Amino acid sequence: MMRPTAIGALLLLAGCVPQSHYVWDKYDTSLYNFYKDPATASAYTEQLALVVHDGDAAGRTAPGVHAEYGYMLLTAGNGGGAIVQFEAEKRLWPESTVLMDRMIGLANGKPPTDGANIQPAATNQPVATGKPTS
Amino acid sequence: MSGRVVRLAAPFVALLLAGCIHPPTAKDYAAFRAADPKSILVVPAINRSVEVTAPDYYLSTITLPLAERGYYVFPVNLVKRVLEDDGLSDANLVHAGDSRSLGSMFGADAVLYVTIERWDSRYVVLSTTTTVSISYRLVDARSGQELWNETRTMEYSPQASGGGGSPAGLVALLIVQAVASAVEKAAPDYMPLARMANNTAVGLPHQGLPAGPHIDQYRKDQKDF
Repeated sequence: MMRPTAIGALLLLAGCVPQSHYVWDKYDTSLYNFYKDPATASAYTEQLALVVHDGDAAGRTAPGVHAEYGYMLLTAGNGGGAIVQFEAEKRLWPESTVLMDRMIGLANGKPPTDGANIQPAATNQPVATGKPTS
Repeated sequence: MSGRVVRLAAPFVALLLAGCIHPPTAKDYAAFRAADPKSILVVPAINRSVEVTAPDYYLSTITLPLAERGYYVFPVNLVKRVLEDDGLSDANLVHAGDSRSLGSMFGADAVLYVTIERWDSRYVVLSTTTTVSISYRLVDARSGQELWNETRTMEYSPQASGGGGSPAGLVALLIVQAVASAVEKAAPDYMPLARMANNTAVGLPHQGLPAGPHIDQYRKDQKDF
């Protein structure tokens, strides 16, 4: 157990807070709000657009944000916009290639082709149009 | 290394303290160094609390600390939806499954399994304590071997201060304390505690994750991990 004092905290604050490597804006709080109230999907999507824009402008785009933005565009029925984002994620983060290729396939209206790796229920056509499911 | 409780005056304070002092026994990073994971797939958390919303809310907190530690973090919301579309909406099922099949499905080097042990707010005699307890398990998605585990427990109790020594001062203090406790009980704020749990779990020398490939300290922090 420890009971930090405000003074100690301030001293440590100066020395220990790591610099952020990436631009996040309000990514985390907007995702939280989206889970809290799915009706904020468009606010979350707009925030992702901002995170992506600001990150790209600064050359410090966070991992995953292009993909998350693309996914929200896809659920809103904008497959073309989604593909642009999935391609951007793949270009910035080659680690995402397997997943992004799969998402690009989905956005092109193709079911996943890597069926061997996928567990049950790959028969339904995921992520068509409309709002997220929850 | 489980169950260390950090009690805080203000939510962000203990994070910094915990991050800067009293390192416990150092972990063995041999398996981690050998596996050298560059990307982390975070799957939805198992929930052992009674708050059904905890796993989703929690998911919004985990990307930042892992990414800032230098890893590629797969997009958590997209991953959650893809798993749901594949019939894997039950976190227990995902956690019980083969890490290697998840790894090949997403192209991930490692899978992070999170369990929410506690996510509650309890009122006992004029005092409310909000607790978030999280356990973490990182598994190599190629070998299925466990690379790292950690448990973090964070507590927050609003504390009234001041009041002096007089009876009137004490009564005033008790009223302030009661109000603060009632406010916390009515709307406990779990998110700062969850973020703190993550930050200390990931960032603490000899306990957290070594720097990943996207930051400068990568492969230069052997003395700390």
